[in-house]
Amino acid sequence: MKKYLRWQGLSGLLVTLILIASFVYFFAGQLMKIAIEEGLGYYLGAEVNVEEVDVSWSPFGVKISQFQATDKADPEFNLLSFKQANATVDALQYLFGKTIIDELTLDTLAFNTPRTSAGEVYQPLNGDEQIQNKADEQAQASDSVLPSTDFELPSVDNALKDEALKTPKLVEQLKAQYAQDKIKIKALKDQLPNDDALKQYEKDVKALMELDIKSLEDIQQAKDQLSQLKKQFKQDKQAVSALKDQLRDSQETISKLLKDLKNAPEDDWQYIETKYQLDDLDAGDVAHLLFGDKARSYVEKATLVYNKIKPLLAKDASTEDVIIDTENGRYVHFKDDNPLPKWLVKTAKLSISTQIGELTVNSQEITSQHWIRNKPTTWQLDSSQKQAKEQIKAKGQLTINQAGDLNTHGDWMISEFTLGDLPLQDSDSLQLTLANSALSGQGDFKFENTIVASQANIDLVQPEFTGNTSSSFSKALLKTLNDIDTLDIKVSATGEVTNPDLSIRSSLDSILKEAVKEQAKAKLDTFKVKIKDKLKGQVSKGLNLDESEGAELNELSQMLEQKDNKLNSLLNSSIADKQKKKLEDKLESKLKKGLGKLFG
Amino acid sequence: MLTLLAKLINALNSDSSPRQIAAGISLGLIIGLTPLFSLHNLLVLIIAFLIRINLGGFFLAITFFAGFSYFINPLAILLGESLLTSSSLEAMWHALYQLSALKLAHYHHTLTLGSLLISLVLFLPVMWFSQFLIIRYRVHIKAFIEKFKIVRAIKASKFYSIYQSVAGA
Repeated sequence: MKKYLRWQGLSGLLVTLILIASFVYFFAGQLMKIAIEEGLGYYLGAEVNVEEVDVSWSPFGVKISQFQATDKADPEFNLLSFKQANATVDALQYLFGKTIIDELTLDTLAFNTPRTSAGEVYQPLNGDEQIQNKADEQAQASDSVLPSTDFELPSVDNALKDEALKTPKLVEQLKAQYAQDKIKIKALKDQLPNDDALKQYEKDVKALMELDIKSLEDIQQAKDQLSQLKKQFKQDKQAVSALKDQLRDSQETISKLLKDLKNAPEDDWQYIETKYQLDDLDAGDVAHLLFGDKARSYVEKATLVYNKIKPLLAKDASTEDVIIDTENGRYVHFKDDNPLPKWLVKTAKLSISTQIGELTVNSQEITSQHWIRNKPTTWQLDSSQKQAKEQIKAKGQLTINQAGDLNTHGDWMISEFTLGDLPLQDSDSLQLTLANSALSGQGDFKFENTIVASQANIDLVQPEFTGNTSSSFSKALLKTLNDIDTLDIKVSATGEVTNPDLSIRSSLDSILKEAVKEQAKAKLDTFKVKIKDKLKGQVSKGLNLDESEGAELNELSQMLEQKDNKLNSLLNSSIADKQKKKLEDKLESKLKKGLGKLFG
Repeated sequence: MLTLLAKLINALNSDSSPRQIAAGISLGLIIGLTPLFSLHNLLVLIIAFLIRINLGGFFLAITFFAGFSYFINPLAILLGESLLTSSSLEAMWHALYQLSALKLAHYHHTLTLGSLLISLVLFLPVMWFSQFLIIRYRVHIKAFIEKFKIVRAIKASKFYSIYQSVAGA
């Protein structure tokens, strides 16, 4: 047996193994520190610092102190940092290829904290990250959509130059109507018998009346002459009638135009109000303008987190074709009597440092394979503020199914939480900070696969805003904000998670609208008076025209009436009958004389 | 590395039996081809140190086959994948999966299972072939090679002095 065995070799191996084990035992923390700094640094593309890593062996646990991961987009800041993390790991399961963390605690987790010195960047931002970063910068750098200039009105002259205004149009129409009618009337007037002609008619009639009738031939002759005269009278009467008709038409048309002209200034003012939106001074969707950037940045952050997490929500290998890793291989897990997911954090306690104070999160059953133990990840968030009235509470649960779909829902409430020094706007037109306020609110959220439905009702009680602005609109905004006792904001995000519809509503909109209206009222009143005066001036022009031209038409109308009467009287004169009677009388007298002589 | 190579050449030229050297190479093959931190490798290491095999050949084989494993790994993973996902073997794997020791040995890992099977299949052929080569070397090649000027030049080199010191040890 001795020929084949080498006991001293085995003892040598044991010594070597003990030495290796001792090295690992004593330097495990250092090795892990290097592994975290190098491995995570490579993965994140920027410097990662860990002050110390302690490894405990029974139970197996790791304690990481002062962790900082540089934000490669802004190396002066950390992507995230924490003071201390403790994790107790099930070593046996780890050797089986499963990471089961019995308890995880994370103390003072913070995002975007400044670094003492800029971190080294190993990999520049890739295309997607650059686009995201550029969008963030643009969102921050872009001037807000708040109006940067004061409330401005158009000049009166410019407003009155508008071709759609009725008043100047009607004045011109009136002038044209008068001019057109004048021509027509003149043409018809020229066809009328003048005074001399009428006198001649009278003379002619008188002559006929005084004509010495001696015979029937004389009567016939008078009758013929009378017929000629009557024919002439009729023609003249027709001319009078035509002119009368024209006058009536003209007066009717002008009367209508005058009526329209009198109403036109009011119509025109309404038109100007509508055109320049003076009737509805819209201060814009102010709540959206003020709080939109903040809300959008939260939504964008959530979307970014989702986009990072989504690829990790791998579909269950047993349900899909597996992409074989030809470099490192993979663990193929089978049904276990005591099934466990690939990784699981049974309980976790996190304290998160945020702008609104320290938050504590307790969570259970954190994994990406909830179907294995058929338990959802549950979490509860609570504020660590000492004052009892200041409370933030939230709770929810999350599951990922075998198809890789993420479903979560939860609700939250904040009561009388003191907010301070929260920048809202930093643009050329307005720098606005919420200096102090009590925040209360509640909301809920639901996320199924890729559809999000979230709503929040927030009340800012006695908010104090500070800011700088040169625009009177923004000054009014600032004043209004500081005058508000309670500012309610309703926020909702619905739809596809990568592009949700964000809605922000607040009573601020209507309050500010009134404030802006008040501020603009004086200017608006002056503008209104000027516009109306100018319009009335134009109307007067039209009315003056009517006064002169209308009087002329009235005179003409009277004159026509006289002429018409005269022609009527001439036309009705019964000269022939009278002359016939005269002749009969004459004949009768002659006959009586002859008979007297005869019978004597 | 030079020391290791020198030890191997020394072993080839020494009284160590070709079987001892070949066994060292074959055991080195298992550790070289399979993932280093595996339970079975601890067993192989114990065997290698306990049994009188040539350790120079053993360690050199580990180094050589570890490099060679980069070419073998894709094949090993495919083999492990096909075995572990074979529906006909599912019952067996399921039963074995309930044993902690087997899980600890990572036989449910595609690369570990596939590479171990390949190394076990190659174990005896490699041992026989290397034994054959060592015998052939000692009978024919050693004397033949020593006739070359280059060999004589090597004998005058640093490498040869190391070899001498190892051989003398």
